[in-house]
Amino acid sequence: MVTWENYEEYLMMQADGELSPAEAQELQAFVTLHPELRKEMAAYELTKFAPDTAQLYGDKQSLLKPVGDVRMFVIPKWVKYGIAAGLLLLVAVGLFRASLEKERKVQIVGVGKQDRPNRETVAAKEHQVDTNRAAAHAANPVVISATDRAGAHPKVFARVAKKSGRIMSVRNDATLEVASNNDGRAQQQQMSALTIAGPSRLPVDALELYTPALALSDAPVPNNPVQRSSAMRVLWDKVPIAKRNKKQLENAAGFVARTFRDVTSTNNDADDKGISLRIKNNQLLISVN
Amino acid sequence: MEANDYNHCVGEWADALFRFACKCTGQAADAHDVVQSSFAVLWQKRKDVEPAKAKAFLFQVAYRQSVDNYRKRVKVTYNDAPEGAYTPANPDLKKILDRALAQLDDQSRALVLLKDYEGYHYDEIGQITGLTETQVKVYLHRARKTLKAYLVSVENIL
Repeated sequence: MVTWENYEEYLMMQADGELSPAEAQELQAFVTLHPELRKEMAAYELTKFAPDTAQLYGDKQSLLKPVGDVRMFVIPKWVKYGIAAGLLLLVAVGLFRASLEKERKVQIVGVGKQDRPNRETVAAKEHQVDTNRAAAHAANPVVISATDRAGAHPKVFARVAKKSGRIMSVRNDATLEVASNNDGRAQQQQMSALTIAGPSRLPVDALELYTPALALSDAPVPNNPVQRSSAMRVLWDKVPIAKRNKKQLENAAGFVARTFRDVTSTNNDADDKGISLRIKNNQLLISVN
Repeated sequence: MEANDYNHCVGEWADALFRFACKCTGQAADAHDVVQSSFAVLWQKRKDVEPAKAKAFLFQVAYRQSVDNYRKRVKVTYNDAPEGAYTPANPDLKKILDRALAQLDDQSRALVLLKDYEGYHYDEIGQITGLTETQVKVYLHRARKTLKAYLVSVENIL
């Protein structure tokens, strides 16, 4: 209800446009009843501001955004050439690596029935293990070595015979085979295979201690570690194997020895072309044929 | 809010925002900056702002920038209002009103503009300015009294 105490608030609310129709009607009735308030009411109405619609913001284009969130990028020419060169380089490297893969086959094979398989058996097993690599990795996580297939040189086999009866052999064509052998009797075991790192990834820091020369010579080995290492190196250099394959065989031997932690003894008990290494509870047999 | 909605807001509210900022800052150049930055903020926050609330969001940002920031930086010199008050030889009521508006403090001026220019209700102005509805009402009534007193004081304007 409009009174002399609140009429001014009603006038301001009228100017603000906040009165309901009923309240506005009530105020109008009060002002009609008291005409001396008309001037004050008009003064409050005058305090209302109207926007100047002629005043416009003249730079709307700069505020607009592309529809669809499309963003334009200008790529400099040198960046384009760089990207093209990079792609060509990637293709070239890929082709080069593919050609290398054809030359290098790196596998670990689990084998059965025999402790020293013949070539036909190995070939058949290689074909089989290619299909079983994933399972092989889980079943036989041992990763040992690789050598190169190229080069006409004597075949070199290395076998590691555990006391538990497992026999492993390494060929220079990059195939490592594992067989089960309890007390000298061959038992069949499921074969598996796994592609492993190439020679370049194998550890080489143990070469001086575990050089394969031990497996290829009957010469006495000096007790002095320095002399022994030097003597082994001289003997190893005389082994008639292509230099490239010899390096890879060093890697293989070094990695095998590193894998089995420690070589405790050596013994030429295989035949006149082979030698064995005692590596804790394992025996590594290496033969040349 | 998508880019289409945002562009629609530019077309719909850029002018009103510019007028509001002009009156708040007293300088067209400052108002230009306020409009630019307000729409920049809207674009950044477009994922969080519904199109229906974009106008209030724009005025909220513009209010903070033009009132809060400019008030802290410099004392606003209100260039829109001419020095000369109403005289029979200078009957331009618009200039008199601008001069009256210049009598208000920055916050009260913004409240009056939001009320009169944009027609916001007390509660909506409260959301934009961060004031309560009661505060908005009190400040607005105080501003109306100031304006009325100025206009009445001008000789024979009424």
